Amino acid sequence: MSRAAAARQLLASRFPDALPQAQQSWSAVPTGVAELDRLFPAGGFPRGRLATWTPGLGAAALLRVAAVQAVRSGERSVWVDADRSVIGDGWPAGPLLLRPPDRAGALRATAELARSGGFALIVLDGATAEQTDLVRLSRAAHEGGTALVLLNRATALSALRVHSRPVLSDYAWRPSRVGDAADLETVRVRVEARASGWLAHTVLSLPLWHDDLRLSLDPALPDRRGAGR
Amino acid sequence: MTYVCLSIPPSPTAAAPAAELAPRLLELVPRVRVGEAGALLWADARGLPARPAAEEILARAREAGHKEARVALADVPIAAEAAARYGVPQTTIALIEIPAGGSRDFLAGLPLIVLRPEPSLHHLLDGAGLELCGELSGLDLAAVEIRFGAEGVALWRLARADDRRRVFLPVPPPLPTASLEWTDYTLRDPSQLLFIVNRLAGNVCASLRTRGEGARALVLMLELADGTVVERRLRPTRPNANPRTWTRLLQRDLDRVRLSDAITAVRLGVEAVAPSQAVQGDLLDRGFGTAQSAEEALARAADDGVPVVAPEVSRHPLLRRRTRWLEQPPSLVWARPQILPDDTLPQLALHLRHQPESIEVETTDRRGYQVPRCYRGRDGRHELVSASGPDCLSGGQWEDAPYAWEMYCCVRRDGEIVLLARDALRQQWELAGEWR
Repeated sequence: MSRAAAARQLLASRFPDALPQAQQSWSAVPTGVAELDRLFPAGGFPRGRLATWTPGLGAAALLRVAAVQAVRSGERSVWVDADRSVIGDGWPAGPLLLRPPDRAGALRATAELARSGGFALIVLDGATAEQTDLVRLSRAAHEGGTALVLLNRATALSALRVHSRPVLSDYAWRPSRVGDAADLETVRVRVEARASGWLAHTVLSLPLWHDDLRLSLDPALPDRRGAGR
Repeated sequence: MTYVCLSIPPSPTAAAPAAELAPRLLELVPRVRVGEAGALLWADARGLPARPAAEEILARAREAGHKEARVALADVPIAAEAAARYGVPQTTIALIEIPAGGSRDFLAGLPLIVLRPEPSLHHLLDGAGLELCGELSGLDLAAVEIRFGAEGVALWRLARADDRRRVFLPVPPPLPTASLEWTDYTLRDPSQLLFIVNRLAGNVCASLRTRGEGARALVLMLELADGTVVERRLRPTRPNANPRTWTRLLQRDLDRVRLSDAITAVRLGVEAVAPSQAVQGDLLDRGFGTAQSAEEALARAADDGVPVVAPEVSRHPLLRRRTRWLEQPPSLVWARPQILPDDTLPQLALHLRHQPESIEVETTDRRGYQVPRCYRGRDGRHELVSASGPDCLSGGQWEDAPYAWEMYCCVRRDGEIVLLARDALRQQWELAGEWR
């Protein structure tokens, strides 16, 4: 018997109920992005657990799709827009949107909704959660069996920690016909997931939303009707 | 139920004599209803000594100048009405009492006209030789139905003293209330007040649940030692009988109230109720099982000042003014929204800062525009590798205030993408938002 096999046999005899990391017992809320589901240890955001995604390029875009996917699968999702930064253009049908007046209200509402058990996925965006807040939110998520994702820098108590950062060298640009700076079309984002005994990463391409409501009829031309000069 | 029917003959001086008399009769009986043409008055004598009540009613009517008034009491409305309207043949008795169970016999001797049949039906009955109620009621139902139709059957029922109309509707039970008062001491401690209010709310909610209703509004009344009464009215987002919701609302309201003196009594009463609703769902709907708890949680969040909102997007050129956020009811959770295919594809969305950040910008000249090259904000200095634009937006001359903006989509050296805006009127730069 090899030493590795002996070690596995010893672990199995000492911890008979333990499961390998790849066979987590808790279920997950799929993100709707195949690469991300493969990246995360349980195939999505863990239910009844806290997950944190460090604010950065691509975080909100990917979480928005995950929220839509939860609704698409027949469940419910909520986006708590604590910094009131979401704009109506392009907001998808499905996820419920909350715009709390302040940080305390955002944290209270998030805990309330997470505890209710009525939502598969809750995303809290823009409210910095301190240590005590994290404890409260973690308990609420556990009580309600909700996958609670915070766009937050503090990662304590998180079962899953995700970090996304841009890969500037791989950005795709759309050439401009008038010689101005080219428009950005697609960005590349490296997403890294960490959990207990788990570290994986992937690179995703994300297109950029542009405001279509322009004064210029040609989208390739910059608008020139503005303040008189 | 004992019906007392008062018939008042038409008077040249009073347009609606029964309506004028009704408030005075409410001193004698709990419920009064004005009958047709304002000449009939119904009184509910249930649970009262009926004859004395009828005598009192008659006396009041005569006091009011209605000397020809006639009153009848019976356990069937049609018998009481017929007796009050037409009296007993060959007599001038002003108070007619029909004994319980004797209504049919009483009607039997009266002409059919007391049942007020339609003229066409009356002619038909008259042609068949039927003149008295007793003659009609003695016929077989099938025979009446074949010869006189449904209207004939209805009249046949009345002739048999089978009157199914509801002169008085059932009395709704009183709305739940709970109260507590002191005589030996006064209350000054807020925590004790909160404890008492919570207990009262618990009692009221328990009472509501047994009725299968939820409160739409509660009224909290605090009686103070100086004799004043402080009244607070609370309305939640949705009707409910959840003590947790009401406790939180009451606590938040009490935090704001300032009392001039100590409290001597607390009353909590339901002001309006709505029946508890159950929604029929789809067994294959994965979210149906938890929709109720989701709705309740959203209602609690809304009561806490965090409602669900949905965007209403206009065609305003300025993104910041384009969206109007509309509050949505918590019952929204029962709806199954239609997901568009594009919504399932990830795309970097623009997030506008709620409060734009003023920044210092170094620019370079490009085709007559000052294009940003780098900027300094709260988080330091950022080099820009690209600045596409400007998208020039101006207008507002016919609105509240004119505006003129130059918007640049900029890529920073660290890869982040930001929206820089130049206010062309004030010559100021700001960090308007970022794509994330």
